[in-house]
Amino acid sequence: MASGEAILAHGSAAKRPGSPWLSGFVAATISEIKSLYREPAALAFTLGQPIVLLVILVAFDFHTTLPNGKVVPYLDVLVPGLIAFIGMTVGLNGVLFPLSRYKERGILRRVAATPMPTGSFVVAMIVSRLLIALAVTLITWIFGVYVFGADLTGSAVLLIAFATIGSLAFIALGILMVAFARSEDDVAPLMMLVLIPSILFSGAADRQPRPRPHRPRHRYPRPRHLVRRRDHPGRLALQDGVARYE
Amino acid sequence: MATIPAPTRESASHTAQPPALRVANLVKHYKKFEAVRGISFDVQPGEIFGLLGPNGAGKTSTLEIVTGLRDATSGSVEIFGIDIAHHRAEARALLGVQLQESDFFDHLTLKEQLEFLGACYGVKPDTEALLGYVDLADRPNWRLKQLSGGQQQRFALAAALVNDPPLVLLDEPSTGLDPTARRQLWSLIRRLQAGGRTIVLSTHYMEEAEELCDRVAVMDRGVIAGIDTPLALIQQLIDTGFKREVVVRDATLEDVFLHLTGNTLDGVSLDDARKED
Repeated sequence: MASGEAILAHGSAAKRPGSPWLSGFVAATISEIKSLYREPAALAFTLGQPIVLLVILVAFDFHTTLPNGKVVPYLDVLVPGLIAFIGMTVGLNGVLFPLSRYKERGILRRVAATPMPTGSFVVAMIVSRLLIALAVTLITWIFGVYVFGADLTGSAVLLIAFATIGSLAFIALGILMVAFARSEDDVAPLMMLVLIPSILFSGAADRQPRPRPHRPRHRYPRPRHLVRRRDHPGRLALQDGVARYE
Repeated sequence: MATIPAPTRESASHTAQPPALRVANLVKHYKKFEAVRGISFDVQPGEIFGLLGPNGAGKTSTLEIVTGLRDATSGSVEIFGIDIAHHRAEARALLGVQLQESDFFDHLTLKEQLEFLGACYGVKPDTEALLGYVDLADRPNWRLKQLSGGQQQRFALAAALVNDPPLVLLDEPSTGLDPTARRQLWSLIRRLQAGGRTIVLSTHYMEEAEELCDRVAVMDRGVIAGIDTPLALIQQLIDTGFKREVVVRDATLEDVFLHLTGNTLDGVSLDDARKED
């Protein structure tokens, strides 16, 4: 143990300029991001979930009718919906499970015994989850628009802004729920309590995807922009009650 | 409440500076349950001070108040003259803590755990020296779950030193360890004291308190039933006319265990550990 002799005498640690608030916040944020990419299952679920959903729904080439009667490819509705869903799942999953585990195993107590303010750790949790949610949002956007050919109308900035606000809301809700969870076992039912009403009241359940009208269903998955370029360059629209390409 | 004797160790007797830890009239209630009922004691710099008592005696509550994790119902706690209730961050910067039932992150390596904790104190710890001190220098990139129970406890001790604290609190540090690992831990704690640190530990192992502590406070149902050096407490008991039924045995089962298994553990021989003792 000779290599450790230097640590025995008090006064041996090198000081780092900066407050525990800032250095603790940076260290906790990095640690939380590491917790995602060092856990292969969590990484695969977080990053892969929206892509898998996109592949499945594009494979069936569904369409849906908007409230104004317009028939659009389901993908055009799905991508913004997925982005909202990501904010919800990353916000809730990403906070509820790890934070309740830290609480149960005394890790939060250990951190609380340091001079770093508790708020610093909480902000680190929020920032790390927000960064992850925005990264997955970006991946969904790129895959949805540029690979599968979703046609998103409206402002991209607004979409990102709403994704950020939505993620923050669910992260905050997750932190609040951990305060009530006695153990990690309590977390899943608490999460369902939020997830199910959120999905039901979002309107996603009303917008049933249907097979493309007046066209045979594809028997194999094809990215939509390839289909569109080859067959019909335009958009689907209802004309006299019949869906046609414009 | 017992009177507070002056510390007997020479290193602890120069007292121009405030005590390393001063607990005064400390009371802690949990609703109607009185966990701590008006205890007072001082710990002088350089001492190893033991809080002894059965489960539910109030040891952990006392240590949690000392670390600032719980607020006292009444009374005060000062660390090197700093009141933890009013200057929490400053007082915590002087404290190294090994808490009972506290864990570390699964996804970080040993080196990263120490760096993370150091950052929480605003310091950059010498992780190589810390891991070397607990004989884990060759495993900086290991995860905690890859270590044995004894190694984990030793790592927890290293983690308590990331901020180079003058006062180290250890809450039942050797619970669950086998005799050899426990003796190794004692050796590490003694070497810390030799380096000038003050150590407060709670334990329910009488042998541990007797081996390590310069003074002990015996707690029972929230009060201090006795406080003095282990030898003085034993003498006080003998003075009352107490006589223990003497059973002379040349060896115990623990001696057998150490003889059979304790020659090497993690590359450290029991003989070496005893020499250090």
